[in-house]
Amino acid sequence: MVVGYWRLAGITSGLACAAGALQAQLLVRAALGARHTSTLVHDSIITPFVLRPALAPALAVTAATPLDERWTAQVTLDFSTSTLERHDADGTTTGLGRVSTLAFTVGLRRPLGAGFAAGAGVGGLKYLPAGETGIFRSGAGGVLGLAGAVVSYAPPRVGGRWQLGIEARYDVHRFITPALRSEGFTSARTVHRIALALRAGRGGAAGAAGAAGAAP
Amino acid sequence: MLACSEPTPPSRAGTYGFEAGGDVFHWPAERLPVRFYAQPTGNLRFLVQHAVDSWAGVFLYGEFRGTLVADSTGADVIVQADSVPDVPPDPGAPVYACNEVTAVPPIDTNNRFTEPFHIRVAVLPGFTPAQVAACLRRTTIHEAGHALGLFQHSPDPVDIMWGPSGAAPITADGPSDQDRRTVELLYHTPPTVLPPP
Ligand SMILES: [Zn+2]
Repeated sequence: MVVGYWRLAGITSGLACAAGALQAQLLVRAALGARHTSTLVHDSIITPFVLRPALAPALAVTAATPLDERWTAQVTLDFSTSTLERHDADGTTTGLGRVSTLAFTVGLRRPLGAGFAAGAGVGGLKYLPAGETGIFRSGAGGVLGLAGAVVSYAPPRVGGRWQLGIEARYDVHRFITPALRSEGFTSARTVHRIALALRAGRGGAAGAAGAAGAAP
Repeated sequence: MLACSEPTPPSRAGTYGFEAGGDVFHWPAERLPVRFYAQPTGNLRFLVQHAVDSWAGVFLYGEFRGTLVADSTGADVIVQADSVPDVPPDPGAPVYACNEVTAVPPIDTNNRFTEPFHIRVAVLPGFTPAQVAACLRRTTIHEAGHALGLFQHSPDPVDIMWGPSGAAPITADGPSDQDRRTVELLYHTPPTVLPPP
């Protein structure tokens, strides 16, 4: 089941140490989709309002290497960008400028059968505002802890070197900025993000880091 | 990493009044950025830009933005001065070395201001250019506050919108926490007066 991977022997010899008898190998996948992010800030001045990013294009690049026949280790770099929006109680929406996020996670993944695979990981997330204004006027506040999970599906490959799949990616972090602390917010807010994406991986097991999942 | 409860909005107790005779005004979102024109005298343009930035910087949620325009035609706020020293401000104790006044425009029958706000800057005699520059820097922020819709003075001398009586200088270098809370409250209060056309 590992034969179909996009082999980068040599480059990955270090990563493959833990795989014991498995050959050194690395699967690289890219996933492009859309991300919804829950409320970053809930405030009330006369009337309540919330801040959250608009639906955002999201790109994730994952490098994975199998540890054994079931488990795959993977690292993922995830980027998304959209407009930060204020939603007022009267239904109006105001754009507050562009904000991007860059996240890095390290995790494990395993097949579930029938082309499905699931994984989980932890890492960090950095907000990258276009300007130091508003809630980011004193900066974004450093790297925030992140935990996430991913479920993917890849149909059996019928030919060619690339395999397509779909994945749902969820993560959660706690959000606050120095400006919000100055305003009087004393604790961070839990922010949930979910992305649905089309994924392309090179090799027979692109299904999943799944590798294993696509070719059980 | 996860908490069971979410943060509650902070208390914003501690504000001063901002309405004038029951009228409330702030620049609506669709009129942003507010267009400021500064007469090209000395470093007046720098002073006005500094004032605009000082106020825009206190908002968290994009309620106010301002920009300097090169032409007074179509400006929302017009700032004029006979002379403005282009020197670094004196770092010493504030002195009453300048005078500024904001003319709030008339209101028509549709509850709309009929013309732009006008701010007039005057330099008082008997002070060094650096003392005047320091006074103008603080007072221009104060007058811009009026043009934002803060039509009352704060009773607290630590606020930039403090209203000195007689020959007392403004001592705050910029908007204080109470200024911030007050202008935030203003920009979330439904206005009763419309901006000039
Ligand atoms: Zn005043």
